[in-house]
Amino acid sequence: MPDGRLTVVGTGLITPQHITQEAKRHIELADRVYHLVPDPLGISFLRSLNSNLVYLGDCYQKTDNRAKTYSMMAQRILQGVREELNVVAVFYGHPGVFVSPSHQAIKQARKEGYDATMLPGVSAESCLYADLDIDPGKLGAQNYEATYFLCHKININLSAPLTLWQLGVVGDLSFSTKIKPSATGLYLLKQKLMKHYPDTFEVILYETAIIPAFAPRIKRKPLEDIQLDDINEVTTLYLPEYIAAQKDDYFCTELETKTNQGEKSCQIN
Amino acid sequence: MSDKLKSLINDLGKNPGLQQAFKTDRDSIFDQYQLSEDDRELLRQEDTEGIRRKLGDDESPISTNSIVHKAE
Repeated sequence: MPDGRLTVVGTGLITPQHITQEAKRHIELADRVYHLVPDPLGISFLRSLNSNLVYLGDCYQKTDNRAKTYSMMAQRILQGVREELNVVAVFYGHPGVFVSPSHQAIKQARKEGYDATMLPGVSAESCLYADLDIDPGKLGAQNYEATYFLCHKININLSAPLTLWQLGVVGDLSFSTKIKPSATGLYLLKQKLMKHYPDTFEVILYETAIIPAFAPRIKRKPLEDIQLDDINEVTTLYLPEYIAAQKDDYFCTELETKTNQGEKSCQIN
Repeated sequence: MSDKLKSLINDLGKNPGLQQAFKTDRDSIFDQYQLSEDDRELLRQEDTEGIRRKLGDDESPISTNSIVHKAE
């Protein structure tokens, strides 16, 4: 195996509070740190750990197409690995959630025989569970990118919460680096959802706080009333469960029957 | 760059006690950090984007975790 190495880490949503000890240590030990951390406090923190920083954000200026931008970022990260350096790539949030260049870089590095690892980080989803006091272990969870959800036939489980990410670009098929919501996309998304949920169904528009001690944005309103003005580039749409899940009598009975005598019987409500 | 604002935000991230005080008695914290009236207003309004601009975040066109996947 060649000497170059890639470790991809996340800063979480608030830096440095959310960064893991493991990620921090990798950044400190890296020969070169590529990063896409957008806030000045986060960048200051990274600089305090390692002075050899390379900002990937300028790739946005080199093309107006996001796919090309992400490919350019991945290539730049790989350049350091190919120089046989211990490279760390740092992304905002969880480095593998809604982040394309991290996956591209790891895949290509492995293909070229380099050691490449991704470490978990605090994602917006983690924050949503905390801020909305939701346990996905209770009713399950459905997560989709909003435009993907709009453009695909999805079997929605109305008994589990549904979370639609990146509402800020729903229906934006330009794939441009200029993030903007599409009025048509939002209209169609609401039409699609209102085929399954009542028009007046209360949903939540959610945005994670990214400054310490600030409150997250949690705005409740009827599905039919969501407007473009409610949405910005980081807004997430959360729909609670609409109907209770039906008990599966057959499997519940089977479970009871086959359970060893003396064990507690099935207690699914 | 507003060093006092930056200092307060940095400290908020490290100090749960300060976070609590920020929620209950912001003005005292503002006095303690000698913040300008502009900075106080940004914090009162919880104006995240305004704070980021004030701290010098003008280089990232996509300002948060919006590294978007195309719906293929």
